[in-house]
Amino acid sequence: MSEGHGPADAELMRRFGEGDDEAFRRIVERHERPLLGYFWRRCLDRALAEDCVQEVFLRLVRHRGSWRPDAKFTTYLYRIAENHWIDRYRSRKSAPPAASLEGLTDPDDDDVCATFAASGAAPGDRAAQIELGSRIRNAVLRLTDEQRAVFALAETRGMKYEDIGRVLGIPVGTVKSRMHAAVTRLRELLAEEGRDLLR
Amino acid sequence: MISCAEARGELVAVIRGEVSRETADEVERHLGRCAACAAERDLLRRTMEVVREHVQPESSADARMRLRSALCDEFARDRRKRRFRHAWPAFAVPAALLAGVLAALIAAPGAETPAPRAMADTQRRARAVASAGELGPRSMDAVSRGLAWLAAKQRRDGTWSAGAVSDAETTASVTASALLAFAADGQSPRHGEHRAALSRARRRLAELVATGFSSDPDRKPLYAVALGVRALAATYALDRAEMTADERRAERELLTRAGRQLADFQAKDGGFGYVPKARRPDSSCTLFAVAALDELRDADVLDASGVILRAGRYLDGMRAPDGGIAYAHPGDRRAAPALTAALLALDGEFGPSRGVSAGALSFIEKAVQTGDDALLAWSGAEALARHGRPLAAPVASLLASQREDGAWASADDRRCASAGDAVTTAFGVLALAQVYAR
Repeated sequence: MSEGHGPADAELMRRFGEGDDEAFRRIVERHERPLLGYFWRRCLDRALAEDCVQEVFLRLVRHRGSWRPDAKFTTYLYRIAENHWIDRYRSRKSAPPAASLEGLTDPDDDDVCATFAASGAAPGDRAAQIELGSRIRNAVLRLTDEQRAVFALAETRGMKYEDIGRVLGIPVGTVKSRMHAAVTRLRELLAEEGRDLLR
Repeated sequence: MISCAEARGELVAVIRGEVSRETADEVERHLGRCAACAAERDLLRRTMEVVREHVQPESSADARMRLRSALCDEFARDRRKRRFRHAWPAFAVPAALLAGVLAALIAAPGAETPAPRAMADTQRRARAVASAGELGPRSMDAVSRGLAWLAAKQRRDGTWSAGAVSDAETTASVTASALLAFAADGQSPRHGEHRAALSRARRRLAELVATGFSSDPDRKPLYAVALGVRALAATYALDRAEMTADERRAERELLTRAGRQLADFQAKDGGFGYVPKARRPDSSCTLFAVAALDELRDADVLDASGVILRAGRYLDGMRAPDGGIAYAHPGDRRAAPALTAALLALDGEFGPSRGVSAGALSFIEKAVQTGDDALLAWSGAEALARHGRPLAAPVASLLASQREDGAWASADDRRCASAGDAVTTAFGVLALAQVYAR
């Protein structure tokens, strides 16, 4: 996973551990969007995803001395994210995706769809894009939580199976089989929705 | 040659570039011969593309603003917290050891005046260290050497010894002290050069806490429970990000049970005593228990704010006229330095700050300069750091009194003379860890 330009994550975390808050702001700038993408793929609920992103960064601040250079920073970050998701999931005593599904299919929720699905679309295509995005996201919500965990991480900056295994605490072979099952299942669901989705 | 089933099992991994060159070549050769599998590959690739295209979020400006605002608030809280986060275990540990090993803390006032043999020499060397301008690097080096000494003295079962006493309560207290000293340096079962040793220590301590302790008041089980909870919560807070979900669940269940067990020690008036539902609570037990419950609260494991609030009300009743705190009896109005320092270090954790007088801080500043009381050095350094007072004097005293082998000797310590060097060394490390917070 690329860290882009500027100091490496490890260097920024080292500075942050020594009290350099500006280094942490660069960490936030670098990882905020991928982290939002991860949570978004877990729940497809923007408000919930944004809350989760905030909580993960707050946990990083609270445990600023915990990270060590012998651990890859992104693995550490997404393990915190996954643990937070599990906590959140359990505390709600219900599956967040089901609740989110209501919001996504709400006809008044066009703004959300417009933001996530149709940015940049030509005006004439917008309604169709919104509809298409909604159907695709519904398919994602029908994956099992285990499949969606692997899928969300794999789609986050192209995280490798080995790193996904470290984040989730499962063998690489399990990651591979879950990812394969997730994509195959999505292909089947999208085919059920209509073959045009895959053209 | 691979079969269609084998090829299809690799397709997603091949598309993502997650297979070896040999496997990729083998799958490609198969796809060149099998149109159905090639079509499946194209469909899976298109599936991944179309999902990626339509499941791509953008963070809203409002969310970004809220995130930055929350982080600013957290930075402010973090700076305050880092200045005193390790204060409590240090105080609590000596109290625990008093259970079976040391003279009772209540006897401490009588021990305030003796002049240790090496005190004058220690103070002279302390001044030299401070004037050499080496306080920061020297302190960090001293912490490393102290921890290395502790690691070398660990027993095979993961515990540390406290002299001749080997009951479960004392073993748990000393082992928890050592774990807390490592935690103050950021070391834990999953972090740092001693993580294997700390893993053994944590495992044995968890067993002791889960098994439970005696209900004999003479063995003062509260200290073992509270110290154990405090140390396990501290290591959990350091390690939980690396734990699997099952590991985290097991750890939280253990800590929750132990936290509830600890809360059972609270008496009706809010104070804590040696045994559950104690009839004779005291300030030492109460501060010790609050420190552990506060750690559980910080670790997001168990919120015992109500218990802590009632304990704060009890401690209000133990205040001496000068703002310090007495040990046990309403009629005993002499403030004990170690208890007063512990209370100052926890200021604000019971609710709104009770206020800290300049006189109380001066009392602590003077007391910690003797260099012969490792417990007071630690709780005092915590209190002073929390309230923005200079640390040079207590830290320099500790640097000057550290042995060449990295330990702090218990023989010259006014409280811990018979407790063993592991205890005084743990306290020394915990006191010096305040340098990090500066």
